[in-house]
Amino acid sequence: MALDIEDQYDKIYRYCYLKIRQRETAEDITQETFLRFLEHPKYYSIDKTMQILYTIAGNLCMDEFRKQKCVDIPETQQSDEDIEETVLSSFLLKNALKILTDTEREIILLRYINDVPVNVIGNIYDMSRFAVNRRIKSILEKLKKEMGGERLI
Amino acid sequence: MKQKEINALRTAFSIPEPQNKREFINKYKAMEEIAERPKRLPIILSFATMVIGAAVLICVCINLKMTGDIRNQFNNSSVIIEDTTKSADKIETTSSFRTETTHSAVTSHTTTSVKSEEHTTENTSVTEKTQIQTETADNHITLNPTTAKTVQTTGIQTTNAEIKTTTSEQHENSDATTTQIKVTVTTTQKPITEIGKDYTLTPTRTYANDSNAYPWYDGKDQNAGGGANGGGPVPDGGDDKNGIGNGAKPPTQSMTLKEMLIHSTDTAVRAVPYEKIYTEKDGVPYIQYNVKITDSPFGNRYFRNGDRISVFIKGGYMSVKDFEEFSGCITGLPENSNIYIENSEMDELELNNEYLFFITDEGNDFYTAYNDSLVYVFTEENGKYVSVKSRYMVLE
Repeated sequence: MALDIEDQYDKIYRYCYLKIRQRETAEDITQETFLRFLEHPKYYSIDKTMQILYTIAGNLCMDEFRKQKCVDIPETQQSDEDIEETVLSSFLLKNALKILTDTEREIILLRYINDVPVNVIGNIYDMSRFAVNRRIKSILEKLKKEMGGERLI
Repeated sequence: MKQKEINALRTAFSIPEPQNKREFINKYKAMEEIAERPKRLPIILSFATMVIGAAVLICVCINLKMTGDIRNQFNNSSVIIEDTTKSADKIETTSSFRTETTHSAVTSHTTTSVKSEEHTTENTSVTEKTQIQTETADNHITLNPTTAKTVQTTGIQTTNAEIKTTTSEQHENSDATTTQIKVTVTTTQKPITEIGKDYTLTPTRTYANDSNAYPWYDGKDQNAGGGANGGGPVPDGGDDKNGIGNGAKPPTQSMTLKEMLIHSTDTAVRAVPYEKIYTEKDGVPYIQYNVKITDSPFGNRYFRNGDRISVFIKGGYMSVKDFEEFSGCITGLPENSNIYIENSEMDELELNNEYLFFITDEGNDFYTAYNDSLVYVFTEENGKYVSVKSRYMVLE
């Protein structure tokens, strides 16, 4: 199936950025992901295609982690100024996201920002789709609790 | 989750926009086009694949058609027995033998049905319980009334009458049979198919063997005066008395007869004449012997065993009208009569006897076995090949 790179590029980039926290490195890994995907056999299932993309990206990010294990990775590149510039409604959410683990943030990003199907997330993290659903539900409740309200916004 | 909440999440993640997206996407699309370009086989391989595919398809179609034909043959209960390997004489002999055998088999059947339910004779076994009748000894005919009609022959040919008799007898014996059998065996005798190629020529004019034909001697004037009317259309050989034809090299004196023949002819073949035709070529009367080659000892042209060629020897019958027309002379004989131009060098060859021919290819499969002074045909006597005319000419 033909890959919609216009759409997938941003999604893979976000995923990589969330893992690496460095814009340039995340973009390099994103591009490397697509180049690796080009050499990969093509599948007619969009789910399978997405799974391959995220798996390649995740492995490349893991390799990058190993290279930079002696380097201090900033938890976030955003400065306090950036935070102040964000809208008030996002501020609470942003802080709430900080209490999540990396995997939880990735799952939230994949599911709600990148719109990755639950079964694909399950394949990426080696979980069943029911486990993924339970995990997402618990993450959302954690966020709501942190934000002190029932809704995220 | 609502779109508003998703946007809030996206903002909360604070992921900066990629900077090199557009450049990479353009590059990626170009690479993708190259990668997805269909890999084509070389033209020769593609063509070969197509040819092989077509051949396989044709074979499958032919196979299906043949299978269908065989099935239809059995459905129509018509079995055609063809024997293309035996000669006509052998077939006749076998047929007479078969007649006797069939009659004896019928007698055996009758005896069987009268005496007991199950009985086995020397030639026939009848088993009514299984509703199967089998002739095993001589006929090799097996009939199964409950399923299909099967006739097996092993090179033995029978006539329609014989088979019908056998079939009716089987009806009488098989009382328990519910299905009636109607077997029609059609005997088709194809012309004998020879192994080898046929190079024989078809004559344009032929003349019948006429016992009342007027004799006409080769190269001799029938009228004592000779002159313009003397001689016939048959070449008289000119001055060449060395036994060498046109174009042949003169043999040396030390040559033996065998060497001379090999030297002055193209090919030697052992062959059996099976057809004799009186004909003419370019106004010259010839006897055309269609021969079947059994061996080709030497020669410029190789013949296989079974090949058939036409060997021409001058002489034979010709109508007076044609003779006068070709030769330009007036014979004074009745117009509707024939003449016989005798070849003084030989008698006519007997059919179905093997001869050794030294032949010369005159072109277009026109083989001659004579010279102006000799006929190059030998017959075997006491282990030696002797000229058909001159007994003193013996090939060592």
